[in-house]
Amino acid sequence: MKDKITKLRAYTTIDREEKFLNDMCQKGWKPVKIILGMFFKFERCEPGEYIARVTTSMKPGSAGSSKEKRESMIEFLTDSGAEIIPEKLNVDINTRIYTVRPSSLGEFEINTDIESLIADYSARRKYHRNWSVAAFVLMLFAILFGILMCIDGEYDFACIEFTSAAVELLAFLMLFIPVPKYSRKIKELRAQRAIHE
Amino acid sequence: MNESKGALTEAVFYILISLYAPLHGYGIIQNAEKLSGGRVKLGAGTLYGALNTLLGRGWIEECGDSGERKKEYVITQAGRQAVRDEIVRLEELLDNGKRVLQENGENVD
Repeated sequence: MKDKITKLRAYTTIDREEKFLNDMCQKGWKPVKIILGMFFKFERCEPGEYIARVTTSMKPGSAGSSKEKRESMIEFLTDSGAEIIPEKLNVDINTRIYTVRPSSLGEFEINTDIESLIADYSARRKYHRNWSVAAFVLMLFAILFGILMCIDGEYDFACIEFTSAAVELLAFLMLFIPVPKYSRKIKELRAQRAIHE
Repeated sequence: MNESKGALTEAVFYILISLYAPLHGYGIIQNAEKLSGGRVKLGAGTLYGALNTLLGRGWIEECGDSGERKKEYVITQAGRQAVRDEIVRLEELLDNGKRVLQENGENVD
């Protein structure tokens, strides 16, 4: 029986990534390393032995990573008995913190009040919004270059540009789709905050 | 409205009363849980956000040796005033709530 496995998965949202990791924990696989943001390495454990959480280490109101926030969060998490899952060669490194904690230590939540949940969802929304805008701009440039190539009669290069534009359109859609969902979630939390602080 | 007179969140209140003696992050988590009889469990994200807000308002400050790996925090005079204001506010809520219930023949216990 295998003691280690690697799964290839690409997720655009933290929510889905966290669900995948927790599903694996429930099946008896503890996440131990993430390479390139999509190769997830697991080691055998007891089913349900660990709870996985993924959170952002982005500054409030910014899509950039905060070293100070990351260090503080890692300190609080590890002191509470959690392990940080190392990332290797991830282009998106330092924007997320992957962590697992033994379920024997009880519930494991990173944001336990409405304010920090709103801050977390706002950071996620900002991240998706910024990267989707970047993908959209790149798509427009690819279309423009494709048209210029067509005018010059360079149909082979134009074809490459239009293919690139199609890929960027797909990237834009994948990155933008969670934005309205996060906006709805933030609105719900704000309404909840009006009653329960 | 005076900023210091607003209602404090439960997390902020427990963090402030935990910091009458200097503590680092995990110490605050443990103390809040102990003080609330295990009910209030501060997550790392909640603690980080609250500490930053409280530092920004000057209600807590970092203390101890800056060379130490773990930062310690302690409540300031402004933070102590915020705790006193909150206790007055909570007492008023409690008194009014009890009085209205008693007037309507209901018992809170």
